[in-house]
Amino acid sequence: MGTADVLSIGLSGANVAKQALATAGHNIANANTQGFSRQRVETDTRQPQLSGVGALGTGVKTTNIKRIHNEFVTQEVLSNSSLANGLQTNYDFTSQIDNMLADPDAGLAPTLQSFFSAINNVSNDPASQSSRQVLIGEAKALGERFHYLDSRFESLRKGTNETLKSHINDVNNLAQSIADVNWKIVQSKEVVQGEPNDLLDQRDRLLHRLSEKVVVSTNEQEDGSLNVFIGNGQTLVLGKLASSLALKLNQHDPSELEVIYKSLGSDAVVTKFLKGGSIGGLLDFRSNMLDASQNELGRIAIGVSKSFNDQHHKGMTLHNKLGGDFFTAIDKSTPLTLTSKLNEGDYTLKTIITNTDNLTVSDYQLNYNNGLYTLIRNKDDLIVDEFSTLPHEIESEGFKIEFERGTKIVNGDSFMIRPTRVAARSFNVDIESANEIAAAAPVRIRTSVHNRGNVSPTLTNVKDVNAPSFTTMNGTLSPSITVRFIDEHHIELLDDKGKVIKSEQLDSQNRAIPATPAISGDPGSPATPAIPAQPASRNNTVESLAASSQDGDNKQSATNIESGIYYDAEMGLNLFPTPKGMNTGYNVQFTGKPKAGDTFVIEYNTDAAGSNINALELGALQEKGTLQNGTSNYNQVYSQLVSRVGSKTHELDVNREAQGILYEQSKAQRESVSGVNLDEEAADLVRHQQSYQANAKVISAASEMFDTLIGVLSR
Amino acid sequence: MTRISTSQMQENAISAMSKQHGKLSRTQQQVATGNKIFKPSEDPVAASRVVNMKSSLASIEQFQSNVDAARSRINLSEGVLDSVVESIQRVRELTVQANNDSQDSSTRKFIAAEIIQIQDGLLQLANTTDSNDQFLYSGSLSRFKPFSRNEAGGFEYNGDESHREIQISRSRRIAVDNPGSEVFLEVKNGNGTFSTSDQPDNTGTGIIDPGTATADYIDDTYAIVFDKSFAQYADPQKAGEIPLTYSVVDSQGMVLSKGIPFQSNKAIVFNGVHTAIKGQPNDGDIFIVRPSVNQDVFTTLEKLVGALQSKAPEASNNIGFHNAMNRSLIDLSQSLNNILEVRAGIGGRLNTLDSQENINEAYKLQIREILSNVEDLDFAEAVSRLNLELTGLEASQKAFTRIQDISLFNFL
Repeated sequence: MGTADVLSIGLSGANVAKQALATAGHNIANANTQGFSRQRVETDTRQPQLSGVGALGTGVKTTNIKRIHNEFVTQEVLSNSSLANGLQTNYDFTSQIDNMLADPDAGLAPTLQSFFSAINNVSNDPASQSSRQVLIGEAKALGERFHYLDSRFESLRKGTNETLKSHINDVNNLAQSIADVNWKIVQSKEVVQGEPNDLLDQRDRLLHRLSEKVVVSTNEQEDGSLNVFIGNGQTLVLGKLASSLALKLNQHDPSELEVIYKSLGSDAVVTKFLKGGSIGGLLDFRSNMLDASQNELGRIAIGVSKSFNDQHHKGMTLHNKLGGDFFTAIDKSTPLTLTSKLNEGDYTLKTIITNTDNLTVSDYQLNYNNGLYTLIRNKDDLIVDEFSTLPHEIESEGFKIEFERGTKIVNGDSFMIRPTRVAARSFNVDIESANEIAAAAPVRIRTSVHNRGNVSPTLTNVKDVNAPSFTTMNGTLSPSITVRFIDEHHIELLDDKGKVIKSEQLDSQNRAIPATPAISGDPGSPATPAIPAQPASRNNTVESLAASSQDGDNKQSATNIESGIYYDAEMGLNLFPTPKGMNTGYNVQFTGKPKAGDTFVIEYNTDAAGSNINALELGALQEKGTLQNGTSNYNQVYSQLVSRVGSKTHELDVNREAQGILYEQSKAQRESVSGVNLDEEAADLVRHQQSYQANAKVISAASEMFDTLIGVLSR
Repeated sequence: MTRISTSQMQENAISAMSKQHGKLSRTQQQVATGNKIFKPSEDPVAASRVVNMKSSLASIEQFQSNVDAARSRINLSEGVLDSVVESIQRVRELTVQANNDSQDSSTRKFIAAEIIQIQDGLLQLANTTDSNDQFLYSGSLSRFKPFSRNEAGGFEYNGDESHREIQISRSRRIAVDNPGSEVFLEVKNGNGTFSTSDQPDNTGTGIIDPGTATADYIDDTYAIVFDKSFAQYADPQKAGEIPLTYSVVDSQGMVLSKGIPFQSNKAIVFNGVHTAIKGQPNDGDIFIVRPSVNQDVFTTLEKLVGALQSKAPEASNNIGFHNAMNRSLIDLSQSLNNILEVRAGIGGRLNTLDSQENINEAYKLQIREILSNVEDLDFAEAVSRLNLELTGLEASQKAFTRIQDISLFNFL
């Protein structure tokens, strides 16, 4: 062996040490580079030189610059990143609703309270114009609160769409970058032996960022390129080619964006398949939280307006008219029935709410095929009804679908039904003047001043203002009924032709005070003096008025409606329906002991500015369960929304935290494998420096050997 | 041994500190506001309970303000009724005074004049309005003046018979006013069951007592007829003289009793009617017992004034006057009793208001307490938690700086 060999060994060692020092330097330099994997120089002995005495070492060589990296750990990071980001995004948006509902100044509860307080004040003083004005003001404030909440939902929807747009943009950019890096990696592998470590890191980093947007799956090819898939198998990156996602307006509802996958001319809607990541989280928020909450707010708006209107209809205004719609009848006007723009037919349909109790917070899709309509509830993708003709009422869901216009419907045509979506923003006060508030009951019962018994009548309810009693002639009761006790157990009903009667005008002819006895003599006894008629009293006006009124037409035109209705003072009597089946839309209860001739008149409550009977009933709606089959009042349905959103947010918060920890752990695990530890690198630096010095010493030894040899020769 | 990268170490420390910061800021916010929860998501069940309880609380507060409204309206009515009672009592005193034979027709005219004043005053009281110019005693026809004189010179009622009610608790409504018909109109004349009267053409001096009804009273109009021809026998003491007898006839002409000897002030009893006639009726005089009918207060006064203003009561006419005074007195008592009854009802309702107010207040306290448990912060706990978290954060910060200082490079 020659001196050159020793020199060569020394050189090889110094080279390797230099490379190791460079690698350590690279590691130290990139200690804070995101996604950097530390590298290590792998060495091996060089081919030994065979000699007579054995195999003689020839030094060291670098076999590989290894990227310290664990594929499984990297995959863990990717999937946890998708899940964590999805939950985080969902939580971020959901908690905005949570905050909004909780804000004591922004929620529905305080305005509901003020509104009912105003009703109470009207009922305490029904004739007061100012308290009526305040009520209209509070009702408007309630409407504005509904609008405000709805506008917050809308701005969240807008925000969702904007964010979705930017995320889709990011995905497309990342896909392109990954495709580019793929190409570089393939090229590098063709040229250089060994792994292109930094390019691989770069690609992992891009993948990581992509996984923050949406769940991805990957497949590595033999040439080193990586194929990336999203959704249910759509290829986002194939080698050096990238596909793209785009947003498109929903076929039914132009305010909603759908994600489509673009590939070679055919677009596919993939909205439903995108899970995880910010995009998945957003889509999940939109369909499960935003839509449901906004629909629920709409359902509350419909419930409030419908039940309040129903009661308001049963009252009477200061103009002596039955109460109209207090709030806009949004149960009739607001359900959306959206026609797909892909429809080949030209049918448009209409949806009307039939039962607010059965309404769900879901949207529906109606598909037409071969003469059959199929109604699918979006919430659970369940077919809730199939039918072949319109109109059709879907009782279980609380609405009815009607044909509106059009000439034909074609197989494959579809419609989207949103029963409650836009109700909250359409919640408005319909009445304009304070006089239109129906605080009074439309029916009153007059008691004749001549009654001698102690029967007291009560208007127990006004059930149906669409009954003929109210509708035959506006502003009167048809018929206005005179109730007369024939004796203590029998009642007759007379039709008084709707004449409004003062109590002293009530029938006094029949008040059954027995006539003063006409004393006809006892047979065989002398004639008795004729007893004069009732003593004439100067100012017996009440009686004389009554007498004069009998000459009026109302008396003569009264016709018998029904006789012989049995009355029991112990039991009292609900007059309607009468034994012969007369029903009036309201009911009157009589209690107490009558005397023959006692008379009551049931008539329209004309001019009763001081009546607050209906205002009391309106006020009672605050506590009375009129919604959800009579189980909840207005405030309770709102608190249900609050708690539903609250618990959903809470659930997301818990999951987000758990998933966040998993994500952190997987990142930590990756770091622990691939991350740079500066102490370690410092030790390496020292080690390789020493190694370099040692090898240099070998070279110097070889050089001395050479010098010695030359010196001997030159001597 | 787990390998830890330098950046990871840093990240771990930073994320731990930021977590501690988060907790600290939340605790600090809690202490600052005194609230335990800020968002429904922090405790969804409590959040919905808070919404419901706050609404209940506001309802109760509304009920309390309704109680106040009810009380002020009832008080208004009570004040009016007090004046009404005073007026009627004054009229009664005047009537008793006028009934005294020491008065002559001129003094009675003065009394009549005062009663007319009182009547006008009463009419004004009955037409009292509230702060909204709505009449208090018109029932729900509150825009109409309840009582007015009509063309015929009598009185008419233009209200109705309804009560206004105010909601004073979730399940309780209380009537806050009485329609004028109940206060002034529906007053049974006579003794409340029947009224007694003489016939204007009676010639004797018989004055009939208003009488009382017993349980076996049968509702009918009766005539007590003095007719000697019904006499069954002659008075043995006053030989040959046919004693004065009376018979009772009902509205159907049925003779209930016949030829009963009359004695002044001796009870006359039939079909549940208990009365007596004082003085000496003449043969042919008739007294009527009639079921009571409603007679308004104003008409009662009007009749009284009429009697007082009638021609100077002489001889038998004087008897008619006393009979009229007696009727007026009993009618006045009826009016008074009726109003006192209404006022007692009002007193009862004021008591109800008081007790309901107490119940509402207690309920309010109870809800406040529960609400406070759910919503309010335990300050002692929160402050000690704040201290703990502060200490924790400081420790992490110190540890971080210490660890950051240590590096192998320091020694190279």
